[in-house]
Amino acid sequence: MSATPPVNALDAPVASSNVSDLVSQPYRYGFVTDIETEKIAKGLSEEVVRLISAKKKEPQFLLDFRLRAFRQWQRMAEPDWAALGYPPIDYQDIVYYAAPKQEQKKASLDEVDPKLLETFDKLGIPLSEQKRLSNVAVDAVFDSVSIATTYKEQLAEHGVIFCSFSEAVEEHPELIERYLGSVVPIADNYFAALNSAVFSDGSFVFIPKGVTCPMDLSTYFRINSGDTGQFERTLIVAEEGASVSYLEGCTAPMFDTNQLHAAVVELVALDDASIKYSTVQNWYAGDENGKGGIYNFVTKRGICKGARSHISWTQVETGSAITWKYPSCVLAGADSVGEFYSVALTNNCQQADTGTKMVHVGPRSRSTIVSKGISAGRSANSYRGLVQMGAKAIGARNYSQCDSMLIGDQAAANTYPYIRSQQPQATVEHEASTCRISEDQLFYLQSRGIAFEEAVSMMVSGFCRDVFNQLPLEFAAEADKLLALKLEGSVG
Amino acid sequence: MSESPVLLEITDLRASVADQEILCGVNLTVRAGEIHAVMGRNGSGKSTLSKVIAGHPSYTITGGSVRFRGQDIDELAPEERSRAGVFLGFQYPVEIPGVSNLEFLRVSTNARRQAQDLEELDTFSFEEHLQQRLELVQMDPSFLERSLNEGFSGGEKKRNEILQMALLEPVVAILDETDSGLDIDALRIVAEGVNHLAGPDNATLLITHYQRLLDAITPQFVHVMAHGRILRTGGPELALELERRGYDWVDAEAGISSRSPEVMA
Amino acid sequence: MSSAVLERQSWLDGLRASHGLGAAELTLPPSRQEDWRFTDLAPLLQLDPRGLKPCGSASSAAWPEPLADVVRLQLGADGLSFCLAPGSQPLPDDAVLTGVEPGQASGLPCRLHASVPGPQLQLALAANARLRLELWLQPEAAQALLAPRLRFLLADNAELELALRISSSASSLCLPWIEAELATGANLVEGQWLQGDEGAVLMAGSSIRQQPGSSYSRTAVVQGWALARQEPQLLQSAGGAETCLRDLAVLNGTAIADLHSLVRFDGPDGRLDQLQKALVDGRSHSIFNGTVQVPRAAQGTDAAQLSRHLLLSEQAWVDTKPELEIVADDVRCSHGATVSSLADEELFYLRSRGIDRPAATELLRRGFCLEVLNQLPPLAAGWHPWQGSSAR
Repeated sequence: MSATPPVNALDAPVASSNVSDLVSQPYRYGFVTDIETEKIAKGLSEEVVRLISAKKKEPQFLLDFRLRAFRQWQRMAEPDWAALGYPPIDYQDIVYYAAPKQEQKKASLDEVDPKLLETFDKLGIPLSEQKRLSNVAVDAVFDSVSIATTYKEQLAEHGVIFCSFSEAVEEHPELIERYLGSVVPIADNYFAALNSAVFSDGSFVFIPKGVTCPMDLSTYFRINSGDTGQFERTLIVAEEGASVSYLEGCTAPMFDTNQLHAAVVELVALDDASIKYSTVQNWYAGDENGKGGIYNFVTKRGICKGARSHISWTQVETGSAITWKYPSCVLAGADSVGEFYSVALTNNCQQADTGTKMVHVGPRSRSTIVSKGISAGRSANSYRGLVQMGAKAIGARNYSQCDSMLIGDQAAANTYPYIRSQQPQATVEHEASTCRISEDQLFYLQSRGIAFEEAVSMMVSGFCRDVFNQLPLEFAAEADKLLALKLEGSVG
Repeated sequence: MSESPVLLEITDLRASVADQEILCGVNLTVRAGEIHAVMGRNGSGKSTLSKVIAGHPSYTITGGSVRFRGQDIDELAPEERSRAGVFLGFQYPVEIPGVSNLEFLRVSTNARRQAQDLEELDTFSFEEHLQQRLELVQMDPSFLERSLNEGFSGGEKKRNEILQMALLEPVVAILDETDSGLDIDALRIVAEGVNHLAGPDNATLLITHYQRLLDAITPQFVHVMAHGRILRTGGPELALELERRGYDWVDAEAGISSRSPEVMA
Repeated sequence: MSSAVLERQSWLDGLRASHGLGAAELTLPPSRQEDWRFTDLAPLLQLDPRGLKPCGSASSAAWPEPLADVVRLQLGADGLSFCLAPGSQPLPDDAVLTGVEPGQASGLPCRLHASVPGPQLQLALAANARLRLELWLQPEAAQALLAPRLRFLLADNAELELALRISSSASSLCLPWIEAELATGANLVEGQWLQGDEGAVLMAGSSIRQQPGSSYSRTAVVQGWALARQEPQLLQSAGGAETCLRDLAVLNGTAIADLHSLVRFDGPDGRLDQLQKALVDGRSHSIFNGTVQVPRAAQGTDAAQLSRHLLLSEQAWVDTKPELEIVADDVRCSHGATVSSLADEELFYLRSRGIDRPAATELLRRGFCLEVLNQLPPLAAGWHPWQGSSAR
């Protein structure tokens, strides 16, 4: 062993290729389930919209909703303001309805095609009674339809409704009619209009007055089919004093074509209600040259309708070729609270344009935004956010913190915060900074015996700590693992 | 000494911030020529007491009274209290960029002088007036040219507070944790300033949770606060006892189990 | 075509008819264009394009004498040239008073500027040369069209202190355009005092290019105007330079002030320190869009940008958007933005020292402004009303 350490150890540049290697690692959920599927023909027309509605035996109001949305969509143009580049999407080259062939939604899990159960087993989401997660109720969605929902009966004892969207339409049409489109109107944006016309399935959650949901609820979305778009719809309503924590996970097989995913999520929180919505998004991101992957154009919005209501979005975005997503809060109620905690990791040729909107309407409403962007490879990672203080938002406050971490000198990190204030008694504070994993920090950790890749992973994980702390326990571990996974690999 | 006039009389004072009661019946009488120390743990209500006396708008008096020289001051704006001779030395003096320290000192000094029926000082006579007081806190005149407290170190901020006290010549000075964050030298300078300014016609209320300030400034009375009330009052020896034994025994003797506010209800 | 489009078209036709210069392709940006989404062009359209005319300088009798080492220029009698003000030093030999090519920027201020006539000055400072230059541009008549074009070429280690004062008359259109090229070691310190009548419109632009080792500092104050749009653009063409931008807008009435700045680093180790402030009262509207671009070549960049708005009225509003676009990984870039009213804790501190609420408020407003005003270069330092009360 040399007696003198190399003098330039601190100055030695970290071979950034090493760090880059770390973030390139194979996608674990890229398998395809070989199952007989019922698909309709490619293309979108009024007939297709009617066909989807007919297949689902929907009531008239829903068909009308879809048709209004479809006509609206035809008049709209795809948005081009995001910092994203992709070839034009051919909306006639997409299948708008695909379902694994089975007669009806099964009364019991025993009747579900074992291949499907096996698929969810492989994804780490066992559904069968013996193996299912002990404290999380799961709605499993495969392509366009919900396969199974666990713990339904137990939840019903508390008055909690947790089921697939299609079931909710059958069993609680009055709730659907009242709340569907009440947060994200059909004309809100191009992708929301498209979703409103062709949405297939998703989850519905209703927590009645005064009830604290006894367990976390979760929906797991799986795209299986290669040419199918996924257009799910989620609606969560928390009545006065109710509270719920909801988790969403997503994966898709590896195809060398792009699949479109255009979901809409609506949250409604009445007086004193609280909704915590967490997402770990790990759609297939395409290969290292940017071939394949999911186009993720999602509209998520919650309204804090009631006084003192609380909506919190936490997202860990690691997948998709393109992410276009701004989970938002309309803070209408007095003293309502909106939160947005986000980690977005992009690598290779991934593009993400994500952030949030906090629209303060009610007096003394408060919002917090914490966004952590990690850009590696040749990816582009943009934070885009809006904080708006309306004329009546007296005493409202917002604090935003947007940090970017760059890995390698070919990735882009952009920050576009829009701030509009019309209320002098409101306070908005925004801070953004950029950092990288410094050689000094890495050297320090390595000199204490920590391996290079573990050191990098520790630092990224530390960078994201403020967001991971917001995740429910089960998900926090998963998210940490996911990032570590993305950072795993051989040291060059 | 008990013959000297009462300057500050606090009677069964209750105060809350954001609907939470922080002061739950404080009683305290301060006479001319006295130095009092209020001690207690963090969160005992010491700082709240000082802010309520100075009239901070976030705190609401929900019961009892604060009388300054016989007059109830609840209705007085913070500036009116200051002009009348109430001074609060802040624990965390705010930084105000762009506002010149010198101009600020002159404006506030003149506001107080006006209330005292003294002649206002113009720029030149004010600088003379300021000079000797600068020496008292050993402050470099270059601080006058800077923005108010901006970029000042902890010690510099506290010395600036004592400088303001020297200029405003308060009747009752409340020094909120003036010793926190000070090194030995700064602590000595601050203490010397306070001792120098203390006289037979005014009074000082030191709010602290360490003994070390009291080594340099000797109070006649030491009060221990907990759970929004003064639980015990004694002489300087009480501070030494607290230093030795901590605060729990005071709670115990007062029949309050430590750290459990429910018992108080 | 919608009536709004027609109105824009006829306004441009009027401008062309009266001033006859090319710019056939000149259009006014549609309101959905990102750069103009928040900015209302109505005050521009309210000016009479046919009535606008260049005009000479207001009387300079009341102006203070220029200092002994200062060149002071004012508007010539026709409003289309500069001339030396009384008591001024002569211009250096190599100053050229005409023949400046129009700038190459694509923004509306530049295009508008290029389509009308105006006084021009090109000034080259030789290596190590030093100059203090004042420009007092105060048109004498209403409805003035003022489009001064200034170009400064600073050779190695040259130093220029520039104080530009524009005081517009009623219903005027002011289109100042400044270009500068700074060689290694060159230093340009610029102070702008831009004061407008409440019906007047300012469309100001600048294009500054810095070589490594140069230093540029701009402090600009906008007050009044129906609409004041500024588009300062700065390029550190090989990085390694120092840039300091300070902006203040003091807004009241229905004024609209809009600052769109762009700073780009095309090489390593550049520095930027930017502070934008606005005091927004009455029914006014303040807009800030500050873009900082740090491409791959700009390793080692250290850029800080801060936007601070003091919003003082229920009828006023603010749109602010600091933008960072970064590719290089070894950089220190930060930005921040705040919008709020006066801080309660600051007010309480002052009041607890006997200063009443109105006086404390005034002190805080002034303090807010002085943070920028104090940065005005010596030649312009006397232009703000609170020069005696400055804190450093």
